Amino acid sequence: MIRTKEQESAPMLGFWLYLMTDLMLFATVFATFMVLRHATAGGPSAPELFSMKTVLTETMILLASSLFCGLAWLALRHKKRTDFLMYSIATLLAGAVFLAIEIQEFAQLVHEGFGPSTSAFLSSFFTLVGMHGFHIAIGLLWGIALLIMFAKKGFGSSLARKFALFAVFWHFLDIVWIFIFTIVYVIGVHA
Amino acid sequence: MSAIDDYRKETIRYIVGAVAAAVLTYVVYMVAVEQRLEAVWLAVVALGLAMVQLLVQMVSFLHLGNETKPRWKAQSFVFAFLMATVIMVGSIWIMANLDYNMGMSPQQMDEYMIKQNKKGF
Amino acid sequence: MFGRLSLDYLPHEPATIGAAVAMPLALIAIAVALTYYKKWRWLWREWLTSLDAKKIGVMYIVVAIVMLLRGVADAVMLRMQTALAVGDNPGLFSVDTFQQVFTAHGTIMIFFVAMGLMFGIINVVMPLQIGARDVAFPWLNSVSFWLFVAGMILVNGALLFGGFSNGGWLGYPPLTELQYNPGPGVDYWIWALQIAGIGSLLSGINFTVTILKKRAPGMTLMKMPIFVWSVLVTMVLVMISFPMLTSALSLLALDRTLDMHFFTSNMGGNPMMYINLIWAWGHPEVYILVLPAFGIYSEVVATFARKKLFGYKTMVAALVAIMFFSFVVWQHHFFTMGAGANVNAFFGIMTMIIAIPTGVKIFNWLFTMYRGRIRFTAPFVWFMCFVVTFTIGGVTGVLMAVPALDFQIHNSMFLVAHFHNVIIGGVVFGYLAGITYWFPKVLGFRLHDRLGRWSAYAWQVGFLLAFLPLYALGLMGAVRRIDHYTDPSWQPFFIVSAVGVLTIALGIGLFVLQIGVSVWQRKKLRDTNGDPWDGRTLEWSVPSPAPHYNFAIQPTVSRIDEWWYQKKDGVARPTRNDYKDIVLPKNSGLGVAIGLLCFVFGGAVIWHLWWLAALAFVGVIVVILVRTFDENTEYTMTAEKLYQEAKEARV
Repeated sequence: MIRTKEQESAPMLGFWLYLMTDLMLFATVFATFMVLRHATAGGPSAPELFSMKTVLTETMILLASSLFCGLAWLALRHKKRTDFLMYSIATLLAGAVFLAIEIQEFAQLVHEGFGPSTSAFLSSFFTLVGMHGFHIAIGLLWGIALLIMFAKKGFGSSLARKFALFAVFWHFLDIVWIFIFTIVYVIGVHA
Repeated sequence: MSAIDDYRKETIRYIVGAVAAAVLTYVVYMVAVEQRLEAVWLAVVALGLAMVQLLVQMVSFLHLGNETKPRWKAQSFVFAFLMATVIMVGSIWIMANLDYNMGMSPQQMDEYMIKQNKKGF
Repeated sequence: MFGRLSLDYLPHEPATIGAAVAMPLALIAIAVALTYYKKWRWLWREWLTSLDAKKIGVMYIVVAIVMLLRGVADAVMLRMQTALAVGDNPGLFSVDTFQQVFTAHGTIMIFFVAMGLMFGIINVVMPLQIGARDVAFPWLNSVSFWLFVAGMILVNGALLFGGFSNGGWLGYPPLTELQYNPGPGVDYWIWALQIAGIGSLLSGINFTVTILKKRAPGMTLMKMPIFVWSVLVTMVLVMISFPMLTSALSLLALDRTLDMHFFTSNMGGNPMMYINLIWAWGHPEVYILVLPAFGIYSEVVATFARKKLFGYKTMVAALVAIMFFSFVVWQHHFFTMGAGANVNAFFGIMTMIIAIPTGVKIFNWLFTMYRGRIRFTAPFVWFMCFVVTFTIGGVTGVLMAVPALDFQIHNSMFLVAHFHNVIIGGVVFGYLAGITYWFPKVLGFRLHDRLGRWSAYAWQVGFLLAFLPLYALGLMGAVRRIDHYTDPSWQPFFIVSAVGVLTIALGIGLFVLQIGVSVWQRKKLRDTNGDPWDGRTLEWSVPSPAPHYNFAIQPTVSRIDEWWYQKKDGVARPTRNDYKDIVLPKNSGLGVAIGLLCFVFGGAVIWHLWWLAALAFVGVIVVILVRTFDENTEYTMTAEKLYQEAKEARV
């Protein structure tokens, strides 16, 4: 059973509640996307713009990142230094690749002249997916800060507490992505 | 049980969760790309599998079932998810209804009113 | 480099110039006074950087009362205009000024008065009532407050430079889109609310964790004071609904700054979606304002009737029911936007259902009074004014919940009268009662009782004069936000209403006078034993003013109204060995820094100074990192010192 004091502390509960507020933030933007997804104003619609293969790759990379993050936290709790270092670097690398693919996708769209001001549909697409990407970027910075802390001080009780919060954040972002994958891409392109 | 066994067991638990999530994603992908289903059914299947994957990740990555009582994290998640659903479904329902009523051309509006009048209003 | 800054944005209408000159003068006067009396250091050390929840609460209340004066001044201007502007008389203000004034009135009253009073009172009272030394995250609490202040400065800054939004308190697009409103007013409005809103969201998380994790040993959920229950439910509402405000405002800001098309009237945008989103937040928001006030009434009525609250469990059930239902009624704010009968009927019925738990609460209060030994002190008079006013407002609300009827009175003066009826009667009276009730706990002396009662009577009479005519006007066809009308038969009603608003202003004057007189006579009004009202809950068990650590010894709880029964049973005096070392947070100026940086960020975005916005954003992240990696944020207070202080307080 995985039951640690980091998981049930006041900061963890507070951070969890923050994630619930984030969930509501995403929910409203999802709702906006769903309402506006056919409002293309004569511009291109989802099937003309998105490549499902790229999206599947992105999804798998983010899932792998989430897995590595969980394993890193596990290694941290079992005080396995090498494993922790390896897994946490893998987490951040996979996250960075994910973000790079997404930025590339965005740049491509803007380059073709289909930026966020083309139509209500594209405004909501860029905002929803971009908001997730922004969270990922913040997470990457946070992860790097934690790694620097690890390099300086090694395992302290404080690192365990801080990494627990980061891990929950990272898993949460992967869960949000499931719904972006389903609603924006699968339903958006094919239904 | 030794700590090493524990570590291995929990590692396997994470990997099983991730593999299950990957399979679910791939199934949805194949169903969508092969276009075997009608649009509505595709949406239902995709959302259903997304919910399954949500549960898989919640349990295997976030260990949501393992909290001690009172389970504030699980309770707050259920409540927030419920409210998020209410807001999303409600918004779509309201906005679709507005579109239906307000997006008519003048002729359509005439026809609609005549139909309503025949109902006896 | 300078974005769109330009001197053209200086105010040039007499009314705004007057305010724009008066505000800086008042600030300069305060600064001079602080310098003259050498109080800067005291202000910074004792107040601005304090992480003591009670002090943060007092600062919230002070800001909110100053904003109340501003909001009432706006209200007086509005009613003066409508009392005069009939037929050929254009009244006092231009159309544009009038629009800015009603927008400012609504925005300031909701976000910076009602929310400020609410968070202020919660900060002061809630930790004391649950037997905690502080909130769960004291520094975050300070950040929340300074974000509130940053929003407040932005909202007032609009008046000085750039002009206020003219889009109404909820800023409906497409009027608030760039196409129709290119100036900075709407941007001020967006960023002021955005920054203050994020502060509220953080407070919501903070207080929820405080209640869930920091209750005194033995205080199970069903043994919490009812005010704490109301706070818990309110904070859940805050956490669920404020993200929707953040989201709606962000999307509008994206439309305005990055040329997106969420709510524009072209390129596929849909303004109705904004109205949908903002009310999905807006309806829970009114419950966020009123539920803590309900909690205050519950405490006041039980204390002054000297009886335990009637139907504690049904009170809790009603609160929880309201928590759910408040999220499924939002469409009643736009019945007339064109949804069909199914949608309107669903939301209409849900709205009527929510009146049931509210009615349960009213009856519980009445039954608490029944056969009680009532003392008619000022807080109790506020409570009685509330019962009368709020019940009228609730009934007109149920009327408006009928979609067919709403088509007649929507957007009319009837609506204006309805929501002032519930918000003044429910929210404002509640917080004024709360301030009067808990004042001695914070400052050590009571407020002058007779002046308090006079203030309540003036508010009550003024309220009836100001708003009952508006019900009639609404049924006669006067729309809300009207600045001029042609039908002279309306004028008498508007004149009565103007007299009413002046009477309310008199009530506020009496309230301010009450505070002044009480400070003057503070020796006579001193609270010597910490329990001036013969209270029932834990906050009355500590001396007044409450020490900054709240409780020298962690209390334990075994029942509702623990303190009342402890007084009856008698408790043993603590001995030296009962005192233990406690850990307390050190003061921190970083909360002020975050507030300042967010203010700079907001201002920079409003004026399109992108480099400055980027700098301020990075600054916020740096401050957060500094705080996160600072491990020297707490200090220990020894048991010996606590013992000595407690001994002194008893003498």
